Amino acid sequence: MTRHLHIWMLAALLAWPLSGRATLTIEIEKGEADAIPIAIVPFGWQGPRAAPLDVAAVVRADLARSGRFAPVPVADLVARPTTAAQVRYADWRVLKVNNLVVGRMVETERNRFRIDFQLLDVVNGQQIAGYSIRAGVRDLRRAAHQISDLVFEALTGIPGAFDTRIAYVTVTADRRGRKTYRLAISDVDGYNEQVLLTSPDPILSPAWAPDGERIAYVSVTPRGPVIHVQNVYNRRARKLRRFPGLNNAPAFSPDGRTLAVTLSKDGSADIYLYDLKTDRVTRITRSPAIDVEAAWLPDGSGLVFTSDRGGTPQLYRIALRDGRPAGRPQRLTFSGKYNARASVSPDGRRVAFVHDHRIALLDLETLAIEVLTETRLDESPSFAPNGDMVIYATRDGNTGVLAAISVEGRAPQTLSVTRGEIREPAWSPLRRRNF
Amino acid sequence: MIAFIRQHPVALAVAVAIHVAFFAILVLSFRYSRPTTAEAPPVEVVQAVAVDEAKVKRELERIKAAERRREEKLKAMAAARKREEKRLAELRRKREAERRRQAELERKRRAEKKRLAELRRKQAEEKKRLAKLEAEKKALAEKRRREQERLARLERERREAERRRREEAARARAEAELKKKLEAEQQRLAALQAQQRRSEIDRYQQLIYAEVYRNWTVPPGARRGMSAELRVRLIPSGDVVTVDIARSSGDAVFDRSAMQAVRKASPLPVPPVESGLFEEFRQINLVLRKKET
Repeated sequence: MTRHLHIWMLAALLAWPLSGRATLTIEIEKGEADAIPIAIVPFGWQGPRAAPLDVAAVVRADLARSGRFAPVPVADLVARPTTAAQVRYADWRVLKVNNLVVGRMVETERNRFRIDFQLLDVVNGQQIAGYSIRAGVRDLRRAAHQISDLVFEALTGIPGAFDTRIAYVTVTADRRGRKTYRLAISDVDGYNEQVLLTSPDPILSPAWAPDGERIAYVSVTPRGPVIHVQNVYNRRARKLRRFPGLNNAPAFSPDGRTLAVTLSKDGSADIYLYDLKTDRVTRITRSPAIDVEAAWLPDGSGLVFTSDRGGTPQLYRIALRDGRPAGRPQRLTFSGKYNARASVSPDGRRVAFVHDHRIALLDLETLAIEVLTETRLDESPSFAPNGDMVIYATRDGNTGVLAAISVEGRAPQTLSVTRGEIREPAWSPLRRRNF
Repeated sequence: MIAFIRQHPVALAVAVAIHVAFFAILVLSFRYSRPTTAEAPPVEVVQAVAVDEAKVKRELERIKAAERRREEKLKAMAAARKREEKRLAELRRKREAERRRQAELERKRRAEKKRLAELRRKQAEEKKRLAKLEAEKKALAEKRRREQERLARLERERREAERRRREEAARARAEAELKKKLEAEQQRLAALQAQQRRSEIDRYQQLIYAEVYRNWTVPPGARRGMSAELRVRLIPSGDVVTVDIARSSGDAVFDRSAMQAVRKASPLPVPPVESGLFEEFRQINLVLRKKET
């Protein structure tokens, strides 16, 4: 920061005698984005009963969790306006907030609600956005997440990913040590958990289809692992063709028609493409080493996978053309003894992965690695669909937790806590807005 | 003069007479002073008388004898005269020789005298010359001495001048040095003032930088290197009066964040009006840029 300033100042000083009374220009260069101070005023409520949901609180929590915002605690709010007209900007400037969200909810008919809100620029004293959202009682949380998304995008320039879900696997054990595996999805804030599958058999590697409606996962039956694809709405599941040996780590292609999978039917573990329409597979890697856990580049032009062909597990990239390998795999990671479990960012520029049991980011252009987390048992990173956060599984003592961290490495946020273990989170794609 | 003559006519006459007299004496003395020639020697005259025959013969004899004797005597006389003449001639010759010798002697004497005179003259001349030479030598020595003195004086003067010149130069140098020092000091002071001014401006620029930096929330979605330029008008309190987008980043979110940063940083730190520096800050441009890396 100051170095740039000094350089500029020097230039300015040199130019000074020549420029005479030229206008002073000060250049300010800043990289890291500070958390945006914002006030979200509790929404007004008009209805016969108590408000079914504190929408503002959900928005506040969402924005705080993103690491991009620093919402003012409710107790510090200087006033409680519910419309833009009621706002006295000077009051809010004292609070040093950049932005203000005010809104009100009315019950238009039984269990039908309309939420009106405005996003205001306190500093410049003007409205940035205003929306009206209608929702049923079961969709109120979602409506709140959508408000968070709108605010997030308006102020950061990045689409919000609050109105999304995560899939994960929980493991619980009864007194006799018998384990129960559950495949579940929930909102990203941990609410609205829905269990899709309960099984005594281990469940692995849930993966979202790009349409956000299907999830592929692996069920390890006594006869061996089997890949399933399940619709999250009607819960209908489809068992895929099983091959001898491994049937693991499914990953939907960007067009949703193909799964990249790990099979060992031909000997060692290799990457294959599984055509969901024809149930036919195409071999992508051919090495005596173990090649696993393929992740798609968002444009479908290739896969990033883990291979121990170099002696230790490292990330490799292989290009695809027309569903076939194009060229030899290219090694991507060179430091660390364990680099695995790739998740490619939505813009295709970065890969989140496990780097010696921490979550790290790999720049696909420079191959520079940036370690994000400081804990030691971090697993299964998954990029948020807006590319701004990474969710991963870790442990807090004996408890398994899901945590999310912004790609800038801001303090990780714990999302979900369960008894027992929680594993392999997968962040859903963005959802279409329903208003 | 004429007046004098008129008064003393007798004196004039006497004077004229005396002049005439002196003139006459001068003429006569000139005439009588001519040398006289030598007188011819006196000549001897002989007288003869006749006597009887016997007597005259005797007498003749005797006359004859007398004649013979006389002739002899004449002869003797002639011879004597001849001798005398010869002696006289000899004498004359001798006298002439003597005279010539004397003349020669005289001539020689005169020549000697002349030579001596010449010698003396020469000696005198030589002496004179020597004297002159000596004088010249002396003069030369004197001249040389004087010259040396002059040179010494000149040298002294030169040294003195040199010393003065050196002193003058040293003084001038010292003065120049002092002047230079003074000028340098003035320049240093001016530079110091300019530098102070600059450093003050610099300081406030940094303060503004820090204040805006602190208040700027870079939109995370902004592309790296994205920048917006704002034109900011300030009043002496530092309060931001207006903020305009001088150059948009092309991104509304980014532009808004930049405007917010400036508004939020208001009042900005600005130099006090008394410092005379505020005018530099009345209108400033701020470029907010997202870091490239």
